[in-house]
Amino acid sequence: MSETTIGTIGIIALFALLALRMPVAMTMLVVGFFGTIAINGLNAALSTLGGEAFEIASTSMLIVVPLFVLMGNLAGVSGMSRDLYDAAYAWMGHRRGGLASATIGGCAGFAALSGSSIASAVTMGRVALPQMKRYKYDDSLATGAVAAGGTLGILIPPSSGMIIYAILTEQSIGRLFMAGVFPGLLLTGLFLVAIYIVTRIRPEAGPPGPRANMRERFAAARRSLAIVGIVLATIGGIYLGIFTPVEAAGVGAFLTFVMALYRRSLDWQKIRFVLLQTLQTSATVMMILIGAFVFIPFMALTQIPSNIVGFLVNLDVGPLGVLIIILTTYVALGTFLEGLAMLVLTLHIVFPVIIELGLDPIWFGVVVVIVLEMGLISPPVGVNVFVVKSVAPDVPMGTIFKGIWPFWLAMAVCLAFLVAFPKIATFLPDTMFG
Amino acid sequence: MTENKPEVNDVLGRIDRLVRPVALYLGGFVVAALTLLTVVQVGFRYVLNSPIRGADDIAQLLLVAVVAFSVAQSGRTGSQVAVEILGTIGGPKITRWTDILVKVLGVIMLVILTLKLVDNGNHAADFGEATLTLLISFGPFFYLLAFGMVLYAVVLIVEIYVHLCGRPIALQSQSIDDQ
Repeated sequence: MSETTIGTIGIIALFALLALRMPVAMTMLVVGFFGTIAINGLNAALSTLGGEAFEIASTSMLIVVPLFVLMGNLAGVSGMSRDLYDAAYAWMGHRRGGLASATIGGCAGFAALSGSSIASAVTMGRVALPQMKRYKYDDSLATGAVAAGGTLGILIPPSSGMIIYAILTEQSIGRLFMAGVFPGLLLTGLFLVAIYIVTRIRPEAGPPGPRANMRERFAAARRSLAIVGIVLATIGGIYLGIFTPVEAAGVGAFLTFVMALYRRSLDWQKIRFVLLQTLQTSATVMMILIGAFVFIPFMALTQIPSNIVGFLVNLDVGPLGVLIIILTTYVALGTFLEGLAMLVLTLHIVFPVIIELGLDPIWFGVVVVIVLEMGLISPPVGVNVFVVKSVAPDVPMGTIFKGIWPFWLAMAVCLAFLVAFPKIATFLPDTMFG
Repeated sequence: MTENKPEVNDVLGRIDRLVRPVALYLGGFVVAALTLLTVVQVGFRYVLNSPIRGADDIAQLLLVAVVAFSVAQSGRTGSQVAVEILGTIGGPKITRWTDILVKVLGVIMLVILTLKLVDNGNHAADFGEATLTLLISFGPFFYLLAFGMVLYAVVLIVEIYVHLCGRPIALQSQSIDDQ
């Protein structure tokens, strides 16, 4: 049997096991291990398995994962997300669609503390959805804003998606984090525009809330200053070259812990919750990477990735055409594959194409993360939509998906901006690292 | 077999009583130590201009411990990323048997991985596998990671048993109120 045939069987087995609900990490381990046995024998497969598992578990760069996850979880349980929402609400709540805009603002702020879109959607959903219900917001706009706003968690640094991209492609985590800042702000702005357009067309979807006076506005802004300080210390620290990403993660987690203690918002129950959530999320990311690093060498042995790379590079459509093909494929895959799964399963094929076409790998990291965000809210398996459903069980899924589309289109526009003007992503890392 | 409901539920409870404290107390301690070590290291480097020798080595080994102590808990809480299409279109009668199949495969894989990690641990000293600065042997940490994987395998074996008894798998609660 040829290597390519074994590879094809491996890919079919991979999708079959995924469809049978085997965890992505385990699927890649099984297919990668047995596939390598088929091509290179048992000893080579065992060597890859044991070596890669320990290699990933002891990769110093990956220390950022538990530390940034800890920071986000601490910020979530200690009420800091509420302060962010309150500040955005005080300044924007009186406008038409203002509560939905405040939700997006709060999500963007929380995203700078948390690298997880799910954490952002859950945390902000619990705070914002009751408020929007109280002011008779349309369910679709309210839930759509939370689901879409939550996706900012993996674009605005720190970002779990970017960490995985960096490890898989051997790029700098610091550069990627910096590259996510302006696109994150751009997407936040586009979400606000989407809300504006929706409420222009259907004013009843987002009636204005009460107007806060200037004293209330500044008081709310003051309460969120601590969070702004932590964000500046961590992300600003990376930008100024004071901290490595690992150091920024440690300092950020520590400052968030101190702040939570100062606010007296931590008890033993919350500490247990934070620790368990942190460990579970960290293990999930690490297992996916272990699986990926067993699966990818198998795929390389089959030469299928290099054949696909050759095919795509030689297409007579130019770099932009190839890029559009790749992005369209990602958007389609995102409708049924979980974002991180999609990333680890495809990047070893797509990334060489990007390099071959002479495109900037850091810029592409940001583009890929935005496509992952689109997948997070795309039917039928948009994870964030299920998360919002768990926070708002009385809202039908169809209503939530209906509310997603304006934000999904805003993401598509953001993607178009990034393709047209790559500097949006590369400006900050270029000014920082040269 | 479904008459044994209390025993079946108890076996899940027992594995939770093993896996959760390992993650919470051992894993929690390691995460706290990792955070503290990073902050102290930053302080020594930037404030006192005197980096702690070997701090990176310790942090690297603490990360191995984080993975080892948390992987079983992550499996038990359903945190591992999976594609949920079959659950939506199939229903419990189908997923019961497919879950058994994928969990058996998972156990086989984890047992192979555990054996290989133990083997690597046995030979770590021979191959000079150690940290860069303090030269701490990776041997014990191969065993630690193997412990994490075997614990995960035990979780899957217990869940297979519960499936075979015809009971649904009750995942650990993720609510803050239940911690």
